Order: sequence, then C-alpha cells, then structure tokens
Amino acid sequence: MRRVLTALAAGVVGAVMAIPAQAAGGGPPFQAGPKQGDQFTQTSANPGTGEVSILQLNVRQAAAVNCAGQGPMATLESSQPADGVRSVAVAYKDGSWMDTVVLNVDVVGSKSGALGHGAVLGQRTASSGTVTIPLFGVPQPGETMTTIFGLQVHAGCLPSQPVGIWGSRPFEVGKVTFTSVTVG
Amino acid sequence: MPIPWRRHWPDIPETPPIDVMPASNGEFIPKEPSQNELRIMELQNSKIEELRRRFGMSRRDFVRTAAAFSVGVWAIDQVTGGRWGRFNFNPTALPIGPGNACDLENPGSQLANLPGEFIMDTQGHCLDSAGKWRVQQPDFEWFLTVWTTPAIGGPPGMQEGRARGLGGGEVDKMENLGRTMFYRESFLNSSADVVLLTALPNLPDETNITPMKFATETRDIINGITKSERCLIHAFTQPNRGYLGQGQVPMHQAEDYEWMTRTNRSADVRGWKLYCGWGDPVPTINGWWFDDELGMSVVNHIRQLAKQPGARPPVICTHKGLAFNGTFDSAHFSPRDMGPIGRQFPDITFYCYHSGYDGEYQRAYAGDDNVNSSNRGVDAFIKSLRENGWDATRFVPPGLQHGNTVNMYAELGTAWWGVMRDADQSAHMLGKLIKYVGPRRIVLGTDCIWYGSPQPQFVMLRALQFSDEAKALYNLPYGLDGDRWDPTRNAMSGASYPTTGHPNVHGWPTDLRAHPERSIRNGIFGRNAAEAYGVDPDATRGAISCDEVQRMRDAYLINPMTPREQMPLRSNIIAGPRTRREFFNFVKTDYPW
Repeated sequence: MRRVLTALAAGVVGAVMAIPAQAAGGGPPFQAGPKQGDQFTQTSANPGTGEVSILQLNVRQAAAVNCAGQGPMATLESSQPADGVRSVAVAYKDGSWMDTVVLNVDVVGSKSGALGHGAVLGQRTASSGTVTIPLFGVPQPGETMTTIFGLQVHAGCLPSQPVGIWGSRPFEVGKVTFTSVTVG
Repeated sequence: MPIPWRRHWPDIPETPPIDVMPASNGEFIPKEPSQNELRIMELQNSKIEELRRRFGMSRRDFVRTAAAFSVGVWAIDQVTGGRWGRFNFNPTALPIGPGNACDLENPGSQLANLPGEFIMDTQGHCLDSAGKWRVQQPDFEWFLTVWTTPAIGGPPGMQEGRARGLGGGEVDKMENLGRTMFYRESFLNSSADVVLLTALPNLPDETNITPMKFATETRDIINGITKSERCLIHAFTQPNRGYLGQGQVPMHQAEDYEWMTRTNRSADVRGWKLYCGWGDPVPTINGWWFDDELGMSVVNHIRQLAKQPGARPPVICTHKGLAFNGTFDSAHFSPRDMGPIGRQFPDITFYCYHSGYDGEYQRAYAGDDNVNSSNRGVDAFIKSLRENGWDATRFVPPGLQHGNTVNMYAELGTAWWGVMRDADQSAHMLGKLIKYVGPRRIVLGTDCIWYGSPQPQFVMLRALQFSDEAKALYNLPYGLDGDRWDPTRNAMSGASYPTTGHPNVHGWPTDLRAHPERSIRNGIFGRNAAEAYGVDPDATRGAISCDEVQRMRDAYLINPMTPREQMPLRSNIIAGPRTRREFFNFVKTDYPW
C-alpha cells in the first residue's frame, strides 16, 4: 500500500503542480506541525520549503453505515509573541486541492487557547492567496501564539453507488506551498 | 369474528430485549461475535432461564418483562463495566457478583418515567409507505431495506409455500417503517413523552420519504388523540438541488427557498433538517459545507424565515457523522464546519445530529494536535468547536467549573445506540461531550423506528454510572447525577440545595430537597431539548398523565410498575442474518435484485 501511495503521490501530485517554494516575510523555514493519517494515506510537510501535500486512496471497506479511518492531515507551524497582535495572515501559492480537501489554519495562544481559525475550501487549481484571520479576542500579555496551517481531508471508503451519490472519491489529493505567516 | 389461531403462524421470538449479537443488514457477512458479546448473551440466557422459573413464566413471556431488561443491563455491566463506566441503576452500588444478579425491582427497567425524567426523543423517524417516492425515488426503498433490516426484518418472501411479512408483521416491507409502527414503538412500547419526527432527504418535497403532508398528518393525529403536544416535526431542505458548479446559483435553489417560505408559514416547522452530503449524483458529486457559499445561502434564508411574523426562532439540525457510503457524499458529513457556523451565527440554534459519530471506538478526547477536524467522529466535532473557540470550556461562568456552548447541541442518534453496549465507551462519549459541548447541550435522539423500539436505549441511559476515574477525568463528582447548572453538586441530594442558595447560579433551588429534574442525565433525556424547543416538560408530563395514548399504554401493559411488567406485543426482533450461514440463506432466498 505504501509503495502504491508513493508512486501515486509522485505521479498524480507531481502532475498537478510543483514549483519550488520561495521564501517570503515570516518564513519559511517553519516548524513541523501535527500530522495524521492511516495506512491508506500519505502526508508530507516540509518546514524548509513550506510545501505540504496529502494523498489518500479510498480503498477502506465501508460498513453499512460507517466509514471509519484516519484521513490525512499535514501541517506546519509558526510561533511568535502574541502581544499586540489582532490578526494573522497566512500566504500560499501553487495550491491545488480537490473539493473535499481543506486548507485549514488554526491560531492558538499558549494561555488563551484558540485565538483564530480560517479555511480555504476546495476545489482549487494553481491557486495562490492569503488567509487573513482576525483574532477572536485580545491575546493575554506575554503569551506565545502558534499558527498551525496545512491540508486535511476526511477518511473515505471504497466508492460505491448503490443509491444516490458515490460515497467517496477514488482518491483525494492536495498540495500547496506556504510562503509566509505575518501578523497585524 | 375472532381470527382463529393458525398453527403455522410463527411463534414470537424468545430473544432477550437487549440483544448485543452482531447483525448484518443483508449486505455483508456478519462479523464473528466478540468474546464480550458471547459472554453477555450467555449470562443473559442463563439468568433468564433461572428467573423465568422463579417467576413461573414461560421464556417467551419473561423476555417481554421489565425484569428481562434488568437482566440485560446486569449482563452488559458484568462483562464491559470496568475502568471508566458501569451499568447499574444504583450509583453507589458495589460491583455485583455473577450469582446475585440484578435489581429486578428497579423502576429503571419499566415504562413509567422516573422522578424528574422527561424523555424527548429528538430523532424519531417513519416514512410514508404510500408516497410518490416509491415510484420516483425507488432506490430509497433499497437503501432503507438494507439499512433497517437488522431492526425491522428482511424483505418479504415465500416461506414453506406461504407468503410471509416482516418484523413488524406487514407484508409491505416499507409499512414496517410506517406511521403505525412509529406510534406503537415510540408511544406504546417506550417511555418517550415527546418525539420529534425529523426529516430525511430529498426535494421536491412530494418525492420525500417523509413528505410534509405525511409528517404534519402524523403529528396532528398523535397530538389530536392526546390533546397534548407529544409530537413535533422538522422539515428537510437543501441549497444545492440542480447544482451548476462553483460560484453559480443551483438551478432549483429559488424554487426550493420559496417552498421553504410557504412551509414555514403553514406547517409549524420546529427546525430545518439538512444533509450536507446530499445533492445531485450527476454530473459531479456536490455535497456542500455550512461555511461555503451554498451553506451561507441556506443559513441566511432560514434566518430570514425566522423574521416572518409569528415564526419560531431559527433552528438548524444537520446530519454529521455516519458516512453512508454509496448514498451520500460522505466527506461533507465531517463536522468540521460546525465550529465556524456556530460562531458566525450565535442567534441560530444548531443541532449536530449524531455528534459526528461514525462508529469509531470512544476514548477520552485525543487532544487538538491528534485530531483532524475533517474526519468524521465525535472528536472531530469537538476539535471543530475548539479550533473556533466555541467549545464549552470557553463559556464557563465565573465561580463554576463547567460551561455550555452558546448555540451548539450534540445529538446522540445512533451514537448512543452504538456505544451503549460498552460501559467504558459510553462514559467517555458522554464525558467528553459534557466537558466540551456542555451538560445543557446534549440531547438524546434514538434514530428509531430504524432500530425498532427505543426502550433499550432509554433503559441503558438510566443505568450508566461513571467510575471514580471517569468522574475525576471529566470533573463530574456525581457523574450523570450532577446538577447540570453546576455538575459539582449532586442533584439527587437535598443537601445540594440549601436555603442559602448557590453563590453563582441564579434561580438555584433552596428547598433542601433533591431535584432529579436538574440532573445531567435528565437533561440529556429531554429537558435540554425541551428548553431549546420551548416545550414545558412539567406541563407536558401533566398533560400526558391523563392523555389518551397514556390510557392506551396503561391498558396494554400487564402488571405495570412491577418486575413482571410486560409489553405483550413487543417484537424483540433483530431480524437480519446473525451468522454466516444465515447470511447465505438470506442471500439465496431473499435478495430482490
């Protein structure tokens, strides 16, 4: 399964995009963030280039009602003092991801917990842009703020269409390069 | 003229009322029963044999008694009760040895409501077996047949040269999921006080499985008989019918919104039911998110409807979790959008149906770094709230230790059904929902009639106790018996309600009496939903105590309020294939395709 995924990652993802990352204000390099996924997934997050990709093959066997598994999530992080910050902007380029894949950004304070959230929903092709996130409130004095950004998607099962809609896509894929995290 | 008893009519089953063995819906070979499941059934069977002799009853009669429910609770506790939870009607009871069995006298096994209990089932279902959908959307019949087979029975067929009906006894298989069975299972064979008949896809409404005309008739008949409000209804809607692609208004959206406006005026709709995974199968799969342009559009429309003169406050109920691969666009059943939409529209009440549950094993919340909010699952729902700063821990009032989300409810349909056979999973699922969604924001739905009678779900919830370790983990010193305004106080003790009141809770009782109606358990059972839907539980209970359906139920019960309390017509059926051999026999004889 790993080899199949690796080959597909190289083929499918590579065909869709892949331009070397360029440094911009606020990074990279970033730090590695949390990752998730089971044996049907492949994730990659390169702190040095800002490049993040996810891929999954939906060959999990569905039960009648459920489709359980761990969908892929790959993230990077950037930390900075939170004093005086009112918003965070995460810039990306060369992004292509399917309609079910989400570019997700969480801003978390070391004392406050969640400070902000943003998302860019699929489908995107060769997309670039900036996710600007106004903070929910004023950070506490002296706390550190971590911005966690990456791609994620659900766990899908082997597509079938006995009734209505195909349950899942055959595969799900996304790739994007994060260029900067800036605060305002 | 009385119908003569015919020898070839099948005997009613002798299955215990709480049956934990695997069942297939006819699509797959049932999994091998686990050691725990075998042990639970073995314990039940031996105890039932012992007790039915002591009661002087046949097995067939005994399995329809309240005492048989007690046996089921006891057996599941014996096998699965452990580190995090137990099933026992007495919160202070020590573990019971296998020899001294169960609390047969306990009213928790019986139909009458316990003190303070008001059960509002927020997810009842039934369908219009004579609806247009059977011709225009025949695929739904296939879907419902395979899904509900374990509870209601297989397709009709020939048996020993004679036609046979299904679990509910109806030859038309869909009528086994119809109005009559809904009345019987929800109002006669269960302790439910109020049932919310919720909605299913799709539009246009006349092709819906539960079309509005049928839903309103169903509600009006039951409320007309009872002269009380025992049934409420939802209406289904969707923003994406006739999908044309990103950035374009779907072809039928205006027509569907106009229908919503008319329905909102005429049908006393108590909430709108949405399925983000439902749409057109071609040319592309087109589920949607609440935080995309389609979701924003429909939420804003519902908000506008609530501004019509005399309209009810806006309520949005949405299926999240349960993938239904092959029927819905399962990716969009992720609860990842519940946090964003809840935060953006604090004036709208949202119910996350199934709480995101998709059959995953329940443990303590895994932590924000270890959860992908795009997955389906209870943890994904919690993560979505947490990453948006909208979980209950953000709303803890001064001086208290527990909070409640502003406008987000966790609904337990199928989620409770899925975990109630495992005490540890049950404690974790409710514990983390109490912590992150709030003790006043959890509502019980049963997803019945799909699962037959909801009564086993009620009995198991009455019996769930948190272990000391679970109480410490979730900061619930009295488990589900804690007061839901301050779970660190015991609602079952008069000492919690001193004459001095509570320094941080307005309206705290000061009568030195226990207030079971304030417990977290009774909140989940119905009082939380009642508050959100504007139902007065105590007035409703008063009306129910003398209503016609209650009189019918009283007349139907044998030996009420005793361990011998018996529901003589309760089906006790899980009719799907239970073993590999049964599965292949089922396929050989019953598949209609």
